[in-house]
Amino acid sequence: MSGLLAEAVSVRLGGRLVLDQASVLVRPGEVVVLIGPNGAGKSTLLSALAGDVTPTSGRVLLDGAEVGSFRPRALARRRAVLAQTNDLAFPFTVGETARLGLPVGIARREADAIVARNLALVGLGDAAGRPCSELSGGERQRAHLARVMAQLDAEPDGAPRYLMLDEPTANLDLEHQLATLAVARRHAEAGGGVLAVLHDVNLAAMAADVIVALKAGAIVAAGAPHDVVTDKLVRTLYRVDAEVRGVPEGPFLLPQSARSET
Amino acid sequence: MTKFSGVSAAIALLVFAVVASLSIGPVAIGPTRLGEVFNAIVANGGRAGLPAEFVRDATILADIRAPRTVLGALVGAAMALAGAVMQGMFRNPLADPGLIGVSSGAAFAAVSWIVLGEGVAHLLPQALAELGMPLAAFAGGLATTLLLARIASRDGRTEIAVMLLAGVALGALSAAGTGLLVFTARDDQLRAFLFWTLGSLGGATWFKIALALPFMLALGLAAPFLARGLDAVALGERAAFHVGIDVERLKRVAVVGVAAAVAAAVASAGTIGFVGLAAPHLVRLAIGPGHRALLPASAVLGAALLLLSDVAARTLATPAELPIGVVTAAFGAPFFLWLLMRRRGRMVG
Amino acid sequence: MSEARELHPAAEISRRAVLLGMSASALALRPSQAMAKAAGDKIVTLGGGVTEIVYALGAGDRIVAVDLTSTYPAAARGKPNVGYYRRLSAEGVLALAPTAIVAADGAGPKETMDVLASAAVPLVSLAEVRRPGDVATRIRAVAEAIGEQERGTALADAVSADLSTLAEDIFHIQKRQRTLILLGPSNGGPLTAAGSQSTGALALELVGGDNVAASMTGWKPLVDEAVLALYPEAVIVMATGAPVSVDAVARHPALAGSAAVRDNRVVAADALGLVGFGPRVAHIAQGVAKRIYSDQAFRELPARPWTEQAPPK
Repeated sequence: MSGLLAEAVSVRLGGRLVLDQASVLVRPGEVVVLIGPNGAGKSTLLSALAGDVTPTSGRVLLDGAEVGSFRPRALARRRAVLAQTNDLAFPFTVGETARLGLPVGIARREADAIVARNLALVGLGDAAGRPCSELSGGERQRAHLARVMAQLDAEPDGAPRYLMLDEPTANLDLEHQLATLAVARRHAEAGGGVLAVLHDVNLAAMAADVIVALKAGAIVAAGAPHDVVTDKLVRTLYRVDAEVRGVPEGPFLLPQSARSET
Repeated sequence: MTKFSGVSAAIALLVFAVVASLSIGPVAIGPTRLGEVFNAIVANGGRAGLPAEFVRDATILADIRAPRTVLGALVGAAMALAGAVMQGMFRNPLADPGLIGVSSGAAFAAVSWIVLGEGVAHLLPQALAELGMPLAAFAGGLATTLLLARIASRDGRTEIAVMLLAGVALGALSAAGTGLLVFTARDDQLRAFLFWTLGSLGGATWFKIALALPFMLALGLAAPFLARGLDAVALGERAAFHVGIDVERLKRVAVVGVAAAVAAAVASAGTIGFVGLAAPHLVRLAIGPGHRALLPASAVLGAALLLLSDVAARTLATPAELPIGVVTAAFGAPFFLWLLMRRRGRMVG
Repeated sequence: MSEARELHPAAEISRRAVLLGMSASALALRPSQAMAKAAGDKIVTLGGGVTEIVYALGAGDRIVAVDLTSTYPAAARGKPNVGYYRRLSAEGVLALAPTAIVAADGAGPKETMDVLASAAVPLVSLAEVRRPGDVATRIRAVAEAIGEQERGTALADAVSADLSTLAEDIFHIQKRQRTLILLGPSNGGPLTAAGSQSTGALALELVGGDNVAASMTGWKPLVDEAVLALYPEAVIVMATGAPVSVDAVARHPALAGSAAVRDNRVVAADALGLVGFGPRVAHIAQGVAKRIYSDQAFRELPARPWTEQAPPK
């Protein structure tokens, strides 16, 4: 069975239950977005699905096999992760950074082609030789997105590949927020699965096929954006009383319409 | 500088350093004479029965300068390679093998041998009679690191931060033990220990090289397999796992490999500072931080720098020998500072 | 009266107290014994050579404590130890309530020696031995410090006579050996040798070797090939504590091709006996000289009680 599946996953960290019986399925061809307030467990759920965190109970299946049973190298061929923050300890160039996603053993020419393709994909086609340390925060974020996309681009074997993004738009301007989400959408259209954590409910509603809302470690709602993103949910999640409207297509939220904050 | 020209420059420097190391010393045997002696040995089919006029110089070349040059190149390469691996592993440009306790453990074992080993020296086989202290230093350095790795590991995971802190604590403990022994040492013992800590390539023999070589070679052979992992670790341990690196295995191999190589280097030449820190930095400046080129180029540059330092150490104060650690620091540190001030942006991320 | 005592009126008072308290039988002692009593029964010796002299003067049982380097005679090793004589603690020494302290040159640190000097205990700090003749001077100074002048004169004369005998024999040597004197085994590193202005250089003078490393000063590590170029015909290895493996030293790359190794002239020497400049110095030096000049005739030195015990193992 293909898909990235969390099945009643609980994670306890330092004695605290940060994820409580959460179940999520990311199907190939689909963009799944996790939303929820700070500390809701979004990143932990993403980590569990990425194989970083071993669930205290429940299990994570990647196309039917336990994610923990994969060797790191095999896992890296099936999923790639863009973390919230990306620091480089040494002054790699943009091109070298993108290449970090590629496994050893790829022919040099092919590697160059993959790197060039994915740098172009994020709009850094002509920045390959620049040191990452000289980039703006947003450019750096995109360089790492190129790295993650290059990882999924290498050694195609026909099996679906999963793109996992933890707040990929945090440092980006509007143009690049949209561009990043477009990259994710194109990956889904090409047959891959996407799981993204987004803070911005509007962006989430725009980008997602499925929205999963978390609060205090538990999933409180899941489904298509216009079924999930409601006044009630916004109140539940963020304790903000605001109107969700459906113009132009699909729901959107006007923060200006907030009536009060508690 | 491109990677190719950078590595080529390092190799050219090493060739120059080897020739310098073979042809410069208190006894004047220049490159020309070097060639003559070499030809005489070849023509004679060995050193036995060599014409008298060549005997002394052949002895100096074959028994003193050649092993010294080989040992110097090996020690320099091992230190620099270990430094590059440590800096990559700890994601810290200041890291050196000292962080994982090798040097402090080796120093403690060395001073223990000097002060307390008199009674046990006769237990060693004849061939090792003079090598009790190096052997003790090797064992002490390696044991300290393995202990440290054990302390920092839980459920098969090695916590680098725990390892760093435990390394500081263990280093302090070793230093306390060293200090205590230094306190009870006589002047001759103190002098022996002090000179050892400053390093020397004196007393190099092929036998000593044969003892140290396997451990240094092990790190050299592991290096190509570490390169991609170290590149990925620059992203952080989690991201390295995400791109397919078995980070725990990488850490184990790197720590054990570095400990073995550095313990062997320190045992054969004392604690020579600075080469392990500076060589990787210089290489990174020239050709960037990618470990596939950085590791071999650091090893080559480290070998060259140590050989050149040794040429200075053995000629500046003849017949006495300057401690080589004094030379590496005295010439290396100001140069390094100059580089740091000029190009700080490119040296640290 | 010794200079040291004149400098210490307090000590003088305590000496009087001792004299006043003496029993009738004590008063019948010969003057030298009375003097010895005056220095008291609690002597602290700092430096292996000094301890040897005190034992040779027959005053070993009056020693209450020695320092770390006092390993000869064997009885000295059974005494309480105040640590290494170059790193003394004043309190540790004074806690033994010594009645006299005799310190070799180099005893320290200076602060400790200052405290000891200002305490109410006679302290005699000996001068450095720079020439062979200083050995006798030192013996007399120690003897005076512990009130054994008569025996001191006899001991000094005997050691001087032995040194003179050795010096005369060495004077007749036609060709002096080019000699390297090493601080100890190399521990797998470079060899550390004595340059000029070192105790090693003086020891070489006693055994009649020409110091090949005289161009440098003090004890320093040598470049291997420089040793080869210095062409040592004899090598003396100082042995402190454990026995030195002469074979291992001979295998060192700097010596492997040397005349010294070829002619089997690598000699281990008891460091304390040779450069501690105690009463055994002539005998130890002659032993080394006999090895270096194996074809030279040396007159037998008279047997002396202070050399009879086997050197510490």
